[in-house]
Amino acid sequence: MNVLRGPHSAIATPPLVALELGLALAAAPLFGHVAGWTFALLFAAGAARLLMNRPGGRLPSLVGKVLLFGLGFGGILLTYGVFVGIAPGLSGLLLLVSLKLLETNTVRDFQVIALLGFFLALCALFFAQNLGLWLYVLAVFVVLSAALVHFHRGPGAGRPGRSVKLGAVLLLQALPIVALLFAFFPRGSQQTIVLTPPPATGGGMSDQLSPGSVAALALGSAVVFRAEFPDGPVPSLPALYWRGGVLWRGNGLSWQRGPNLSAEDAALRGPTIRQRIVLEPHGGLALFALDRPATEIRGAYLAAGGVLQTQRPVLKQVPYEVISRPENRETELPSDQRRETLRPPPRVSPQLQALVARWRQAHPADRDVAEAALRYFRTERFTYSLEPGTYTGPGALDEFLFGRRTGFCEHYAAALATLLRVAGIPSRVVLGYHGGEYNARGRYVIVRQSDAHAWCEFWVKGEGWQRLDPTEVIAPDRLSSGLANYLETRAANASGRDSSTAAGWREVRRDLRLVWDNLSYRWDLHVLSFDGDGQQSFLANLGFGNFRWWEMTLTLLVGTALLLGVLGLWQRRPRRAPADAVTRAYALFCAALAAAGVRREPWEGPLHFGERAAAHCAPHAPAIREITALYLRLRYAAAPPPPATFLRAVRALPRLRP
Amino acid sequence: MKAHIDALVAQVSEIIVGKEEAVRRAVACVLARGHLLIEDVPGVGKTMLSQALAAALGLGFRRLQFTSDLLPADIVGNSIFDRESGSFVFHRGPLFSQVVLIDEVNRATPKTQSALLQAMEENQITVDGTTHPLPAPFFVLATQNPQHQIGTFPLPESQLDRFLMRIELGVPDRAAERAMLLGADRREMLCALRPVLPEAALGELQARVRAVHAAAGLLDYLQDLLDASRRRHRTGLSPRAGLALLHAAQAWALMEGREMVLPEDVQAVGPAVMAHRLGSGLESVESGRALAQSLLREVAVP
Repeated sequence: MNVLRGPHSAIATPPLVALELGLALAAAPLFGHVAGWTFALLFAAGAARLLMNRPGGRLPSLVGKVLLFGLGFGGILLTYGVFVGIAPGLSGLLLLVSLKLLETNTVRDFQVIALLGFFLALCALFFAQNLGLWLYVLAVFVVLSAALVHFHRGPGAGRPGRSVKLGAVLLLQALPIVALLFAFFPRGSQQTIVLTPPPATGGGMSDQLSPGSVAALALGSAVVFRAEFPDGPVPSLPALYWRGGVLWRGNGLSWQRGPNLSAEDAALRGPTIRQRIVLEPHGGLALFALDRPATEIRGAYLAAGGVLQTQRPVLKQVPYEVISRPENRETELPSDQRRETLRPPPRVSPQLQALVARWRQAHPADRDVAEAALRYFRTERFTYSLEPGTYTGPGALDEFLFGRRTGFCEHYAAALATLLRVAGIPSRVVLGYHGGEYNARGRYVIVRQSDAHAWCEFWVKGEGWQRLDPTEVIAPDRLSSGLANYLETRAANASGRDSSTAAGWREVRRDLRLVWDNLSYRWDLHVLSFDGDGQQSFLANLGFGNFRWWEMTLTLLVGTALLLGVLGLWQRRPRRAPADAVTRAYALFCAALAAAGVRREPWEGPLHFGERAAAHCAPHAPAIREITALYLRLRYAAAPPPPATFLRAVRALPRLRP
Repeated sequence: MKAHIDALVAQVSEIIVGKEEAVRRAVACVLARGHLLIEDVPGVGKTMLSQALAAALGLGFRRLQFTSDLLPADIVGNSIFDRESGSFVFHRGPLFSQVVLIDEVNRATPKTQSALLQAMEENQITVDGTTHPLPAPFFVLATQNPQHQIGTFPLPESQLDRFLMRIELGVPDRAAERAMLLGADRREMLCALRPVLPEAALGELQARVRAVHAAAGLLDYLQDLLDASRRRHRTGLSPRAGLALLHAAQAWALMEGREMVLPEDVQAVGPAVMAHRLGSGLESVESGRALAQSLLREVAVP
């Protein structure tokens, strides 16, 4: 082998282009997870390899390859300092693929690099496993298979479409084996490899409420969780208060979680509502449930404030079932909770003190004071806004209450809770989500970041903690229709040109989105969460109780052999030549007549059938006779005419009525 | 061309009243250069049909009654020593005729039957090492009686196969029978019958039959039929049966005035061509026809 001069290219350009396309598509989802320059290297190598396919081009020499290899690994060492770990590993893989692409020149090389492409495509699933990504990986597989097919077919490969079709068919034929592996591959309980770092923002609820934090959340459309109601109908959306966290320590407009308190002894009443929830990873501890969760579930406990919390941060999808009851009749407030929930803000302005004192004087009952506070919000021209500006400093609360009087649900909840505390009523702020979007197709509720909400709870003697939602008073629409709709309607009203077509399109888009959401939800629920336990219960349903791993392996081997045998037999089935355009058109003609009530028997000759049909559909008899005559000449005459006339006649066939 | 054929059919139908389908099949059989087996009870006009056909075609006609003591030489001919020339001279038997009607073909011994069948297949006769060609066209109509099987030698399957078609005449329906009862004497009509085909027209027609186009799609269908019969029956249709089916269908297509064979043509002649090949042996005429019909219902037209 010549050390300094590489060989000429021996691979045709079309399969090479297909291969490079497949590799680029396979690598694309890794963007952001690997060293950026390895990405650039892959594309450079692809372009370089194509250039080598020009006449006179040469592949890199051994010396060149060794040099590139050394440089590449040096680069990875410089970028990451190590070779172990997911990012350096994947960067190394990209580097190797790029180098292999440069030297690919034989059948074996081509197959190796196509296999590498398959592996590369699968690597994307380290970071996410949603349905969309799976479908994308499948599409990449089709492209790579098509590249292999096109390569092996050689110069007579014909149109690329044929290779794509065969590649897709090959993959489809593998589906039964995929299903078998899915069902019988021995699994552990924690089979999902999750390398996804928890969302940087914490994603969900934080431990504190500072003005603007919920508003920021509320503008995100990411899904927080999906909830099904297996026992009964879905409650009306405005009644859905999803409880996530309780803030105990108030400081005017900004609140914090405060110290760990003892859990109250809640006495919940009312109908039980069972929910089946699939929570997306959010990096926090909260498990959301309808106000208020009544039972503890495995791996989680009811913390102070009646919120469900896990021991470990939610870093992967968690499915759980929880029962909630809407009414609360607590009788005793734990002393540490009483102390904490009566603690007034460090600074109470005289104006505020005076306001609260006025209410207190007028209303001896706590409930009436709360009503008075709500009335104050309603009557003193408070407005609801997502961009209220910032309220900072010690006078933030006064500025909100007596100055600008505009804010978001968090401002109202925080202000109301503070007012109640100043009036000597125990109060706290609850964080969570409100409402959601009902997906009628899947009969579940989608709750997004944009449904984030904050409300207030206050202690009523003899009745326990009761919910008080000031937003209900300020912006009832926002609660009844959900934030997204609220904003949309507001924008539409503002622009004043919400035509009915635009509304129709919005409806269609919404429908499609819900269909897709339902599909990917089912995917998550039934495919991704199919772990060792799910597998055992599935197998038990099939009648294989307590299947051990070696039994599964044996089943896999035998099943695969059987499937391959069946596939082989099926491939050897006798088949007719594929139907040509004329046969297809005639089948169309027969189908049209069948729809009109004359069905052609399989043994019936076209002439007799034509006569029968003509007698049946008398108005169309000339057309039927003409088509039949043309078809007979095409099929049986010594010198068939060109089929165009026949095909046109069939296409021009009117809808036949007897 | 079609006019000739229509005239021929009309002419024969004048004498064999109400049997146009059977007449058409018989004509198709002639056009396809095949031989015809008519199986029916006595008195329904088997002889009349063959005589009328021969007369209308303008061909020479001979009738042979088969009996169990008939010898091959009786039908083929004898070599007789001629005293004057001092050598054997071949005297042609009754088989040397353009149209031969053989009555009760199953009454002769197998020896005689096979002499006849060789002539039918090869259109020639070999006696004492000399081969004598038979006249052209050479067309055999044989009749047999499905009843009274005692003292007969049923034709074996291999020999039935030599007949292109087997048809049944059946008793005429009421109206046709009335017309016959009222009409003139059949014998006299037969004598008055004039040939409708010009000289050599039959040969030309027969050549035209073989030129009728059978497309690949039609051959597919035909072969599907053969395959299905072989899958279903102990003895399916032979390759010769396949050829017979094709030729008969070609003749039928020509009679319909077409230059191409359609599946319908195969279906029209199918029962007549296939029934005696499928339902031979001890099975009755009806069962053979039923088998052929069900075969046609079973095989899809591609």
